[in-house]
Amino acid sequence: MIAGRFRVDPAKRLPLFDQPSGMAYLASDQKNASEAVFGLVCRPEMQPRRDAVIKLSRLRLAGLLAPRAIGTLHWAPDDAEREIVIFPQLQGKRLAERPDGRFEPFSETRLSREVLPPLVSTLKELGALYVTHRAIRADNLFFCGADGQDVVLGECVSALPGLFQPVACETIESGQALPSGRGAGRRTDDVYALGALLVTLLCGGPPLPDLDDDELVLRKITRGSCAALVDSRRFSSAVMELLRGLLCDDPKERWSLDEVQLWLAGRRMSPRQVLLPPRAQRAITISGRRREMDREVAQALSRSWAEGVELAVSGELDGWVRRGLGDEERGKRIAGYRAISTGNPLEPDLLLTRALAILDPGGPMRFKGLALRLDGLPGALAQDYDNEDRRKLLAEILASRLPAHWIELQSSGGAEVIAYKKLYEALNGHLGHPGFGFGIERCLYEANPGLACRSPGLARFRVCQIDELLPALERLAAGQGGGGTQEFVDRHVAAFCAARAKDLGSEIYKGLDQPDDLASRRMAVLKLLAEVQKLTGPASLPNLTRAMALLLEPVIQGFHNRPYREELIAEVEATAAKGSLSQLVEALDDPKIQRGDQLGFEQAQVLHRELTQEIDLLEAGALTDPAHVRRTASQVTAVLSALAAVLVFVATAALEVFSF
Amino acid sequence: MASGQGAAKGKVAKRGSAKRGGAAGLLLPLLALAPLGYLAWPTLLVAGPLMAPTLAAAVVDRSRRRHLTYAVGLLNLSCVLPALLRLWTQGHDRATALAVIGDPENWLLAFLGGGLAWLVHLAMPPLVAAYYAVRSRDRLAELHKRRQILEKNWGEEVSGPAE
Repeated sequence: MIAGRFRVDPAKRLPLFDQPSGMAYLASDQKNASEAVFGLVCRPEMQPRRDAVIKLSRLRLAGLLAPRAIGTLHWAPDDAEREIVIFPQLQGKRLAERPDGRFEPFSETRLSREVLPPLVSTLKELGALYVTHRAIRADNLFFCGADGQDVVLGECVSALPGLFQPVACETIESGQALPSGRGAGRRTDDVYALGALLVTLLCGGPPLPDLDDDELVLRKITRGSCAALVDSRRFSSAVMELLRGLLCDDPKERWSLDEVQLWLAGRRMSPRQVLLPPRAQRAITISGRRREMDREVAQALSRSWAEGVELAVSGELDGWVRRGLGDEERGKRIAGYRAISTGNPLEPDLLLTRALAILDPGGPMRFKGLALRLDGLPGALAQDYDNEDRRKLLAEILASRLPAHWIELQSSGGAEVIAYKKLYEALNGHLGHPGFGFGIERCLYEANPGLACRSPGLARFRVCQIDELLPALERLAAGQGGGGTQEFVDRHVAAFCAARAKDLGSEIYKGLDQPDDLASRRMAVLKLLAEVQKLTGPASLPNLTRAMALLLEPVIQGFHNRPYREELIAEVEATAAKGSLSQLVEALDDPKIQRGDQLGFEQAQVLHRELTQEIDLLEAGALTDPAHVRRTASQVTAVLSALAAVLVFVATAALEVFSF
Repeated sequence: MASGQGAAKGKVAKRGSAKRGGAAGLLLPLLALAPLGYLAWPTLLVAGPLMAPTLAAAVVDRSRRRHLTYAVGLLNLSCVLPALLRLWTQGHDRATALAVIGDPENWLLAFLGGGLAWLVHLAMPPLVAAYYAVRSRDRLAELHKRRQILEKNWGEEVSGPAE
């Protein structure tokens, strides 16, 4: 049951509401049976926007497929837990089945009367909640109502922002970035996507279907987005004015939603001139193609990283900027960075990163062929964590403080940028620590507050919050049936706890870094889980406690005294039945008893050695040795003789006395 | 080499002087006791022959502590005591001494005492050996038991070195 009221039926598919992020199934609302709802079962690798769901679930908006609830449910077909988002069912149809699907082109009139007003209104509502949609595209648009005239924007919460957006619908800087690294963006990104959607609707499909993503980005850079997307099509001057405003490549100049509403109300503004970046007097050749504009060169070099590094290190790049582009100031800045060599092996790559940030200040952070927007790094880390090469690259980005270098080169800042700078500095600190509770895993959970724990042991579960951890481990332990060897806490679980339960402090993770000392390591695992139980409950975890008790066999074996071990086993079994991990810690981790056991053992060793020495002596005949026997016998003889002599003396004396 | 020989000579000379010193040390007490010896002549006449088992033990006993000599001597002396008392009470003179020494009862008693000590000396080693064998067996059993209890309570590792 999701949110205590929604049931999802795995047997009843609703393909109409499928998304790239998951499949839709019929759901029912137990509190309001009249409302038709469906559940979107997210694919395990998706990162639903939980924060956006919380905000949007309060919203009842006709123009948006807003979520009702999100929750985790055991999904029988996969025999694993899945995150499921509940939405109301729409009575209508999707405009296009696929991102490249074609449909009947919309007329300008229909666009301005039927489509644009509800979309603008919806985006304004979203803006009021500080939520960006970031999934405005033709295949996420529904037409509902009896006559199919009610436009409803599809859902935007089941995946990372912008993850499935075609490059045509993304701004230049967002299109340059990795899909998972586009970030939540700003309202201006949604306005741009709205403009691109309008072009798509007017064209009856993707405006430039024959271009691949790189070519499309370069086309947008060299011509401007509006000109690139509209291409040679002819629209009315009013629509062109709207499109120029919405697809303006400078976010500051891009129309606001209020301006769009003014346009809808019939107010016409003077058309904005598209200001393209200047072209160089002399082109620079990259990968065999001549490039003339700064952003174009930045984009081309980011795709040909090795060549870019060569050009940057050799000074050819800053030479071209000074002489070819005629920009002395930016050329000097690049040359300045080239002159500073710190001996860092990443220096050539960092030089190119800085050079590209200087050439394309609004563009994404670029590093070794990877491009990310400042707010996109957490999403990229979450989405691409299982891709080892990309994970290493992202770790390098954090380790080399690339975001800080990139921010330094930006002309505009703001509270959001400062917040991200602080976050990435903190992640850099975590990354530099190799122990449990730190490393790239800690960065993953710190950067993504709603991310499910990626521990392989918890693969069947979706543990997103700290209070979900122990119930999942309890179920895992119950599944083992008391015979498992699951250790419960690996680097992921430790990092998850460190990120989600900061009250625990960092000392508690130190004991986990003892791969050779199984007893100490498992004791540390128990202490960590006990602390989590104190923090979040539940009060009783009988299966987990029993499983931990079994795993703690090496700790019990660590006690030397056998009778105490027996007592301890009985005590542990009794404690395990109660399900309290803290009591298990108390039973096993009493320093006084440990010291007493060690002291007693050392004394027993000394006594054992003395006994063995005496046994060896006796067995070697120390007492029955003839010389020893003779010596003792003569002593005994002397003593007996002395006694007899005394008796005789006394008797003689007595006789003499009585004879008188 | 020369210095080595010198040192050896020095040692010999020292040993010689010690010997001479010892003889001189004995001579003076003997001279002082000579009048006493003259006075105790009858006692010596009686005790000398009757203490023959002790003299034999003193000759035979080569042990450092001379337990045999003490054992035989003490018992022998205690058995000679009645004869000496008779001498001292009936007149401490040569005639009485000869009369006492001529009494076979005194000889029997003196030699019985010395002989008894000799017999005990000869019989004691097998007895002590038997006693020690039993004692050793019992002690070993006790020690093994204690060691087993230790190993049961602390495990085999208790036999390792104490830290």
